[in-house]
Amino acid sequence: MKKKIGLYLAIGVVLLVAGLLYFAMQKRQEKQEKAEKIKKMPAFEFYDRDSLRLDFSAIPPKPTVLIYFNSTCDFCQAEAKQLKEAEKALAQANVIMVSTENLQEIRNFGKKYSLDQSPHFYLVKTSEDSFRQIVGSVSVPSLWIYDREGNLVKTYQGETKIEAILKHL
Amino acid sequence: MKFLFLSFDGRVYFLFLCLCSFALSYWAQAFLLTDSIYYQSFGEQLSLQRFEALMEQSRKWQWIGYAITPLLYLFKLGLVALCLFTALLFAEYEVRFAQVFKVALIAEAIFLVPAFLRLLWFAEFQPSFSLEEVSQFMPLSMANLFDTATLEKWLIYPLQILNLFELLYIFFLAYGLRSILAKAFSEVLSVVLSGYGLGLLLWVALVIFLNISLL
Repeated sequence: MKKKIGLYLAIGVVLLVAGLLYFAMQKRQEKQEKAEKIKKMPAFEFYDRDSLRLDFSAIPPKPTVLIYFNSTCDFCQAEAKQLKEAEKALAQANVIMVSTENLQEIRNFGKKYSLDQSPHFYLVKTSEDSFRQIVGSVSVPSLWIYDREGNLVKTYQGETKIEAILKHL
Repeated sequence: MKFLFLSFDGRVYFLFLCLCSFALSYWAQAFLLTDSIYYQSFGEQLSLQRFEALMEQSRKWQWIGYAITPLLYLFKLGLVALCLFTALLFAEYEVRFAQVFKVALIAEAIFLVPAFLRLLWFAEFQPSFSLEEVSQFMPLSMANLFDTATLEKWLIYPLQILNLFELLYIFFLAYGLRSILAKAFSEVLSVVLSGYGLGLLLWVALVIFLNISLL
């Protein structure tokens, strides 16, 4: 009897392993598809500080630095400081900082690091679902650098120094 | 034949295991994984000022790594013993959990060898290395047969697990349990393979799943 239960348990473990590997492979495929999709700048649904949908066609045609952030993350705060210090050097690009937090928190973050004064800095909000659907789950901060034509040039996960960003503009 | 090591005091042996692990970690941190090695990996992305601040912060918390080593050992040994004990129970062998735990504890020392060899390799034979090379190198494993830079990241861990020391560990576990059970080696080996082997398979699948999902 005990041996029979042991056999069932072993079959259960094997099925669990198969299930985990199946879901892992599904996730892998999903990630590959997403990585392929963001090679060209997707039509993100972003909202500015006045809750208005960001009109990408109204933005000057320049390379884009897209930064996914969260105002409570230390690395994002350090990134924000560096971005402010390099404000002039970054004028050659549109810096779009996007968060899934509420607009008030995004506004406060922009104010705290004086990022809301620069015309080429855009602090915007997106919904977690729509952003995840396009890029998948990523850590904060994450950066995507697109050229003027909207082609992905470089991706960085984590805090990134300005020199590294400028190198790809 | 009496398994010589089973007469050891388990607590003293556990302490020895932890001390060896501390010594290897200290060697790695103090002499191999220097700030310049870290900077080589993160310098492209982090400014020197931020890098230094983060290194300072990590040094401040380094003691946690040492402090949790015994807990991690207890957790790992507990899981291994549980897998073996379950397999033994279902195979209708009479054995106490403490005895199985002690076998797992003694066998664990085998894994100090590849940890030592890894450090020795980079200290003596490959003095120029990156952080990634250290983390991806596992002596006498399948991972060494491939260029890990070209492999998908999730594949590296299972290939590292397929190593000679893992095989030795399985034989060592079987040898230890045989001395308690007084059964044929092949009989005990099949129980170890079904208990520990399935447990390891589940663990590797879980790591692959987490690697793909989170990284």
